[in-house]
Amino acid sequence: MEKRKIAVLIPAHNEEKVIGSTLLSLLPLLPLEDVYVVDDGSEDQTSEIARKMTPNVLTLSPNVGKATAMNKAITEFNLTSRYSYIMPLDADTHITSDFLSKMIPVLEGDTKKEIACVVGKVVGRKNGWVTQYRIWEYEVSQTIHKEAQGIEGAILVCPGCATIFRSSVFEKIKIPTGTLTEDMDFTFLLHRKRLGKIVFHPEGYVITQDPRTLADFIKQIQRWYVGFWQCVLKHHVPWGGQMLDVEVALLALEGLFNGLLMIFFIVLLPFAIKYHPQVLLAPFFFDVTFFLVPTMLLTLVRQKTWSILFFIPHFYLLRFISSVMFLLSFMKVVLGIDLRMKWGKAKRYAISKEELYVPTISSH
Amino acid sequence: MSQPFPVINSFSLLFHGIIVFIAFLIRIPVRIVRKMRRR
Repeated sequence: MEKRKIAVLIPAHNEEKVIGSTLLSLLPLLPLEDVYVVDDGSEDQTSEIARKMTPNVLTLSPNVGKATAMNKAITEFNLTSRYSYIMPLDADTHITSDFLSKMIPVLEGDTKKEIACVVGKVVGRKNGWVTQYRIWEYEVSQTIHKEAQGIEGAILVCPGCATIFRSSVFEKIKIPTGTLTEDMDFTFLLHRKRLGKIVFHPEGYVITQDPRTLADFIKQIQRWYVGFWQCVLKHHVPWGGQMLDVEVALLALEGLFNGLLMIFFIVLLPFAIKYHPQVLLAPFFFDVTFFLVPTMLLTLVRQKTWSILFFIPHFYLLRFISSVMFLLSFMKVVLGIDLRMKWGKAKRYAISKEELYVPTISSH
Repeated sequence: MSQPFPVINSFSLLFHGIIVFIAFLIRIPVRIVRKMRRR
């Protein structure tokens, strides 16, 4: 039997606010018979809404966790033997009209089947000052860091919302459990098992929902950074002898250094203001000139979002919080020191009509 | 998960920026050769 081309697999847990619009955004791209939803023990109307649009809904009760739920769905729907490619998609993410038509040829052109997966770009929606920061962060990290990681062969994470995998990958390995970031865990496993190349292809992109409040932003980065350190421990980074180890070591060490620097800065701030204000001006001037302004220009040129310039003061606050959170996550996971931080899931928002991305060009 | 580390790291930004820039420079002659072949 000839395999169908691509299955989209959406894991969902209490996603009633967004699941409908996400399925709606997929309508012009592929038949909904190729869209699969696994409802992982939702207490809301997620399953009911999904069933109105696709018959392929697997409801699990009680909640088993995202990774296990996805593994169960892949097995239950027999996706690896029925499809050539599988794309996991977060319930809050919309793929753009040409995403599939730009990404699938990369895999199809790989006749030797050396590519395990192709990773697209993630773009945030503008919904306030926190999301403005995320737009900038995504642009810098993907245009520069991820592009370079692709060249090095050391992509850190295949986002669970912007990656198309060869289905054979899921025959060889399961999505791992035991960390808060199963997509990063899975990416590290791909590297460790040497299952193939990970190609970054930024021409295809998805639009995702980011936290809108400071509290939700903190919850999200706590989860991501804790997941990062869990993956570092689980996969024995930096002792694996791969480029991945060099890349992670570089980012982790500099991230920790910056976290310490921030705390040092806060402690010294009152003394510096009182006795030597110029001590503060020099690093601030350096940062603005060589880091913030160039990366801001990059973002506003590529994303065409001039409004980002109004949020520069907020960016310093969020950068400070991110650095400290990275350090605290290290203390919690690696050193076992928990400063009683609350860990939780960021809030989801219903997609308004203006925000709803409904592609118009069919690409299948 | 899309952003596993804080984008504040100036050294790694420079390091990765250099890699991307070198790759860009290498691609220029490759593109020129491809264009010439097409002609």
